[in-house]
Amino acid sequence: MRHGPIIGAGALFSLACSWAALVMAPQLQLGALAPAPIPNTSDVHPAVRPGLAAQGAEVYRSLGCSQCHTRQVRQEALLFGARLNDIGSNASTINLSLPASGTTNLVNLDLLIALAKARPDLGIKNVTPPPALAGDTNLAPRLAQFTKDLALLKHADDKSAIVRPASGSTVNDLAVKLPAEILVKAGPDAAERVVKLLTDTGAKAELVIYNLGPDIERGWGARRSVARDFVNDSPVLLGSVRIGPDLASIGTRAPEKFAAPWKFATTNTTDELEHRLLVHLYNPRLLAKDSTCPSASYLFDTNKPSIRPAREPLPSVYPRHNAHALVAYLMTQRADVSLPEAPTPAVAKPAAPAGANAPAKP
Amino acid sequence: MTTAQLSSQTACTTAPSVAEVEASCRLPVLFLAFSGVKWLAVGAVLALLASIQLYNPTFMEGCPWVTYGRLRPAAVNALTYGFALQAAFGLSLWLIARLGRVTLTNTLGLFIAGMFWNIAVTVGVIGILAGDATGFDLLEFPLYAALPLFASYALVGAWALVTLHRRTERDLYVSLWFVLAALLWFPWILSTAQGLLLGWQVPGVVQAIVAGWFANNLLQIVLTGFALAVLFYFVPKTVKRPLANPGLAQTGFWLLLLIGGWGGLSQLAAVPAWIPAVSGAANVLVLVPVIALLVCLWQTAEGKIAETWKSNATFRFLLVAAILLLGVTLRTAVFGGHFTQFTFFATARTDIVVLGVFGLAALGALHHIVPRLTTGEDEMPSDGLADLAFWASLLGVLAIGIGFTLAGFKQGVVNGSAESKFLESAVTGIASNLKLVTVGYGALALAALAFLANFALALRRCCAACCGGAR
Amino acid sequence: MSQKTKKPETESAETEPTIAAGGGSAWPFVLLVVLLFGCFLHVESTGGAFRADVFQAGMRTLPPQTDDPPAVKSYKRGAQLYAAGCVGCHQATGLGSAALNFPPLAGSEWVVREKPDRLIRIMLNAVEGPIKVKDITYDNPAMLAFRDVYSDDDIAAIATFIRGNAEWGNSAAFVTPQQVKAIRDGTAAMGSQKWRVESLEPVP
Repeated sequence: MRHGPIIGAGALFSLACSWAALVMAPQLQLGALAPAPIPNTSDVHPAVRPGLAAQGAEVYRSLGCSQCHTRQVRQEALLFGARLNDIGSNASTINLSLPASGTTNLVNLDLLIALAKARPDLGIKNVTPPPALAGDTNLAPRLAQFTKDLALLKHADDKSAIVRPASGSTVNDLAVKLPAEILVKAGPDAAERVVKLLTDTGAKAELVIYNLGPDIERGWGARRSVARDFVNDSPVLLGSVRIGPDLASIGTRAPEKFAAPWKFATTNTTDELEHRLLVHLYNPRLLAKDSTCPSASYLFDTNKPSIRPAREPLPSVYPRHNAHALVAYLMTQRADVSLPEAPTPAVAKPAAPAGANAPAKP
Repeated sequence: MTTAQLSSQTACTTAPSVAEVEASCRLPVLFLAFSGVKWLAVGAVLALLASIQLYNPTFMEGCPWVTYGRLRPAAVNALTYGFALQAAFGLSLWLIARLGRVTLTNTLGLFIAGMFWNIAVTVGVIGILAGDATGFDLLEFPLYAALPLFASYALVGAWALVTLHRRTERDLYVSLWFVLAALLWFPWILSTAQGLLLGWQVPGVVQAIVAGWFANNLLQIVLTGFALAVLFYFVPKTVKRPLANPGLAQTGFWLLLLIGGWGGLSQLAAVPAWIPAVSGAANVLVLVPVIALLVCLWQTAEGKIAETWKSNATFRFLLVAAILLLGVTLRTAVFGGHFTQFTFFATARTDIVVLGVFGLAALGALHHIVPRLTTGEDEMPSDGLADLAFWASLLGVLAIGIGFTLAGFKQGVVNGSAESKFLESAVTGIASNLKLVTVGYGALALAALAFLANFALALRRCCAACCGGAR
Repeated sequence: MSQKTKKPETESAETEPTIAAGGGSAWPFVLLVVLLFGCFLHVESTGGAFRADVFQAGMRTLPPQTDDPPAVKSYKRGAQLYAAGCVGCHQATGLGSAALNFPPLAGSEWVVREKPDRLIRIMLNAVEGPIKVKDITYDNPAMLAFRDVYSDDDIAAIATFIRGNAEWGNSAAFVTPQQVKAIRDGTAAMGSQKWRVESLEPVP
């Protein structure tokens, strides 16, 4: 090769390829990402940080906290389940209590069949009314229908070679204590099928989400971190090494999930967590004696500051403005909000239907 | 069969003699080499102090200027910009002048630009220690240091390209392909990254993507490219054989450029899945050009490796650098995915490429260049110091690489299972590996000092010769 | 190696490295193709189809409809079915057309009754003969029987939509497939016979 310009042009072309794929394409995909509304509230996630927390972000950057702490929760799997919330009341729901007794013992016969279909590992019992109700003309046809359904179910079981245990718990026991977990950690299709089975009988059931992974088990977040969590950050300090724990959701972490677990003593949990973080900043080894986090004692004052009225975090020192700012910033870290691309177990309750809430009278 | 013979028809009649070429290199190349290795010593000491804090947190506690979060980026940036890139510029100038058989353009200007580069790096390192770091890996210099840095590079790069254009030897030897590509690559990735991160400020995680793209390009193309330029120049030269299989080198060169820039993002978690997937694939694909280039070098040196190892100080460095290049590419390709995410494993890659692949190749080259430009001999004045520099830097790079990699594996196990206690297993449990890293940085600082001492000896002998040997 | 002598190697230091003749190998390309195939499979299986909202391949999130309660899902499906099968006569406004003899559904006393029994029967078997809706008498034999066209779910969905359409001013309760099934089974004997107003009047 004798021509420099050819090499130069080839190099620039190669660079342009990787630039287009790894800089321009992500910018086109993610550049317009906006905060998402938090279900059932008027807030959005991520929220714009208030002034003090924004200053704390600068302290976080300046001290290089991101050299040791990531802010990215990992997730290994997303599984689903079905939860039965209410047995509902419709044509197939019968009351097995005496009208005079003042109590109700509602049994949704269709729901029992649906539960049996959803849980082939459990047996199903016939429903027998108390003797006093044996002659009830309302009950008789429905119970007869149920017996027929049971026979059909048995037939279907035989066809697909399902053998239900003769003893042990039955689906009849499932609906006794609500809400009941009908299906746990299954694939999306199975869970959807079960929820449909249940809701078709007039019962109220919902889809449950299971976010799984070591990070989530450690309590570092309720779900994986996604791009949307960072739309309000600049600079975006994701961190690349975990010399300390992940901070993506430090503001919502449960007290027993810290390296030095503790229990909330009061109901003012925010205040307690803030205090804890301040102590950590002052000397991490006061809380966890093996911690290798460097102390940020230079963010504290031994004399009472004149400007800022202080809660007193430690007997003899008072946090300076930057310490408060850094803690305020940490308190805004949350990876617990359900997003379309990363749902959390706290699924929103269904919105009111378009019509009325009760089904039409038969 | 020499390149000179091949192109004797086109060679300019005014081709300068080797002595003239080397005379023009003397000031800028020696300056860049000396201050580069000086930064190697400074950076290694800073990194050593930072690594002690990893297992001994009360070490230098209580002062924000030397907290780990500032000391570590200061060290990494000092090593990358102060040592690696600066030495790379010096080596490129020398390679262009020698291989192009041309005297350097504007040697005084190059010297002054080099001075400004050093001032900018100093300001940047102090800026990081003062708390002005930007927070992006390998881009931590604040804007007030990054802009002068870019300006001084623009001068160095422009004069280097002008020199290349003026070359009397028209055929471009393999080394010059890599030099040319890296000299063009660096300003583009630097300006793109600085522009998007500090100027325009792209929103959200795109910032992390841009920073990762920059860091990977800097390591995989620019610094590896400079290292390969050195390897392709000195391996044939030291084994005294023509470069075997140049077609393979050409294949490797183009594939490296096409594939190398795509890696580096395989360990981001908060980005759409396709980005780590594509990047991880590129980390594997880049094995092809790296192996092709190394095979080409191996075919050149085959059979004379042991002999040259004994007789030539430069070759020892180059052999280790070549093995490390294969090693670092393999380890990233095989383990660079989910398992080692968020561990010291990635840290080790930066250190091995900057200090091992490039650093050793550069030190090896300087062991040839410095005596040529000072005393006019082929060897550094002190063989003992040369040996010390080699063995200390080898030990240093291996200790850093192995220490960080093992620590990374331990952290990876903990990251993958909530059963193991994070604090006990992943933080205090890796202290022994990190102590090895401390030893590594110490050895590297020692190597830098040994080389600097040798350098000073050579300079003194040179001065003595020039000034009549009176003193 | 410390025994190096300062022997004159000026020759090698003065000359530049040279290039052997020939060269070029095919194996890097073969290796590249093999690895490329592997990489293609890797990106195919873990790349999440290059979507911006997939952060881990295979981690499927459910379509948002599943969050709707069944009545809302049914309503939405009913809207689609209505737009496909009913708008032709009853119009998107649900007002029908007095001029063309299509009775309205919006505010119709036949639709928004407390019980949906009459509506379901009309949808299953249609109605013929004069029918008085909102004080206007229509007589259009064009109404189709949907017994064999729509399933219980579909009819329940359409009925839910018609009865609960707030834009039309309707706000009657939703209809379940079970209700439709009961009526379908109960009137199975009618076959393709259509209702007349007189025969529907006794139905609540």
